[in-house]
Amino acid sequence: MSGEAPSADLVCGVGQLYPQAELRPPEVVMRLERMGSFFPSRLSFMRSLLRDLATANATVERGVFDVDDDGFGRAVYTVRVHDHSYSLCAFSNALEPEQRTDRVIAEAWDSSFVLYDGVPSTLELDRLNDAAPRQEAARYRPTDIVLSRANRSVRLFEHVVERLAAGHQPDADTIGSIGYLMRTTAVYGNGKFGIADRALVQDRPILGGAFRAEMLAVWLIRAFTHDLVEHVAHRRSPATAVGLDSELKRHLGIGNSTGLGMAPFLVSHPELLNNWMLARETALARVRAVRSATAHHAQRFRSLIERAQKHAAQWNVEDDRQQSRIVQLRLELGELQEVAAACMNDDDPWDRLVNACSNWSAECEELVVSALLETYPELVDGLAGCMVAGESRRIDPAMTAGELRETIETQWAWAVSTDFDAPENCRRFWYTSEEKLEPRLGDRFTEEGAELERPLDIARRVCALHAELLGRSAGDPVATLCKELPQHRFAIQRVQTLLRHPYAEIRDNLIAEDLLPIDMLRCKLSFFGAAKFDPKSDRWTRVTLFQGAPLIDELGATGTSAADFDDWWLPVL
Amino acid sequence: MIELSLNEVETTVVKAACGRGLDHGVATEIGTAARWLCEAGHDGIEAAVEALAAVDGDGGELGLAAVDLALASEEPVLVSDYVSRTLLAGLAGRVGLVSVDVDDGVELRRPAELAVSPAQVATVASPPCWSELQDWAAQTYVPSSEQSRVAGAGAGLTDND
Repeated sequence: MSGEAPSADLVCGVGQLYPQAELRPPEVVMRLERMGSFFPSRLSFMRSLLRDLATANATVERGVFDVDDDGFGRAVYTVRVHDHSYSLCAFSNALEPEQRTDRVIAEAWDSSFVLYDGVPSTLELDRLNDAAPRQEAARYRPTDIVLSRANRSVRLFEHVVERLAAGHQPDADTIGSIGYLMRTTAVYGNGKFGIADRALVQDRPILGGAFRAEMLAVWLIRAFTHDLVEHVAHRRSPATAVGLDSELKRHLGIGNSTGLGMAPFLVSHPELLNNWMLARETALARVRAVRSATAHHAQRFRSLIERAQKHAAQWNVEDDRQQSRIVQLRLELGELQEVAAACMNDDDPWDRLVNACSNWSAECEELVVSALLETYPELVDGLAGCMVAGESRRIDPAMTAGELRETIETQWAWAVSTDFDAPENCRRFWYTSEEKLEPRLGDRFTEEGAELERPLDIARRVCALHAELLGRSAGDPVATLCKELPQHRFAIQRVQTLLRHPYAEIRDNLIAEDLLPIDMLRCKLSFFGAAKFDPKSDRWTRVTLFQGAPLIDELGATGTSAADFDDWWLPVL
Repeated sequence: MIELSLNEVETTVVKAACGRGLDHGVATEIGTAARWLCEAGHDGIEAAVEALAAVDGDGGELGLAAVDLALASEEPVLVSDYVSRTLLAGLAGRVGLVSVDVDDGVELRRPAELAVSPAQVATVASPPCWSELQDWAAQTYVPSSEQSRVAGAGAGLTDND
């Protein structure tokens, strides 16, 4: 079995198509502090989705818009691409203010949505109209690919309606600071509540990549919110109302409240995490191998950093930790142009720049990584196709206990040297609450339920496995270990997976007292393409999705180049 | 009866196996085997329930160790003790082994030719025993408390802005 395992070097022909510098090692990249400093990039799923839709000449049409004066009713938006149609079915209902919570434990929402495979008949639309507002309490069919819901940003929605109805545009600063008319609070895919398994769409164009269907649904939800706000304004004052200015509209994305539910995903999908990271690191390594910067690329990088400076200036949050990081980032971006200018006139300009950045904060370093990727679409974009993973590999039963032990001692030294009996190293436990199955984090020493903890304590498990191996014969095959010590099977699998997938594991203790789950959330959300991270606690964040992204009627619009269509990294107003 | 997605079958079986006290790695094997059986048109849910009902301890009676052994060797492996014949077929089948009934039990072998992948089915109907799996899965959930509700997810209670 071990002989069949692909080496990480072979993934997507890394090292064969383009020259590349050395990859940053997992010991550096897979630390939570760094992962929690990631920014979206052109490899992010929202970006590659819209690029692929444009390349495929996809079109979007609004087939149904049956909405009353107050904005309640239903609408259908259909994307046609290749031989498929996908329809966002949107249902908007009245919601009492006290029912409006972003948490998973909510039971009612302003709007609910299904991304449907094909174009729904009236009968199907009625079925979804009955089910979608009930979300998890209803059942769905394999024609239903994504299930989601959203709440209005009461402040901004009303402001925009009021201004448009009066014949004025909304205040740009208010739009800039909030950034969305609605926040999604869950976007479900992959078979939940009877919806389509990912296996049913993963071989199709456009939807094949990770979270593609979910991102498509959110992009269409954004279009619905734009139409909805204009519709309500028009109905309020037909004689005076105006439509939203396109630039302001483009700056209205979709908000998202993200809690702990996202964090376990990164741990339970190690091969996928590896492939996301490897694609990003490979992209960086390709750019670092560029021998000299052309005038075009040098100018492009400078202008992107100017944009990043404006973006950072417009990014303000209440969270003290994040705000102080933003302030630091602004200072460092001020110095960056000068340092970059010096590097650009030399050989290996970007490699020099990345090395020079190591004195700055992780936040600034990772912003530079995203900016460098943005500068070289020709080296980067093809890697977007590598950010998927197949079924998890099974354990390799032929490996010996000695090989397993050696692997742990070389790759997991940080875990093995941790004292997991010390309270500060094991205080947290991850669990699923019986209350709507909300994922939560508890304190082992003050709360009930630690015996039911979810297996996110990877380092502790590997440490325990290592202790067991010390007393075993080195020649024992893993098959024998698994028979005699089945309680270590999961840990064995993780150790073997890391051997083949070097970026598969977060190299931090996920049950430590000082763990900040927010870092895991930001990492994952940056791969989605989210920006403006706005932590509400150490385990909950708001973000904005698709802010600055093209509008549905800009797909295939004449006069816009592919590069301009795709140019919405870190949007500024 | 409801129509279940295959991912629901798999994740529920994994949780149920954890609820029965099995290691997550063992539970994952049972979950993928149950899904594989469903995809191949067999009753993977009943097989999982049959196996998990009989599990007492670390799951040694499932036959998983024999599957590991068969994968690590070129020779056929004989399994004389197992708690669910169908689940054993799933554990073996999903990794490309065939299980054949012989006089003393079941033999796990590498197939003479490459096995054909099971046909894709979109959903399976939930059998009556589905609720047993759900009950076992529920044994992994922590009862809610006020402290858990307020601090566990770290969110504000309303977001009405």
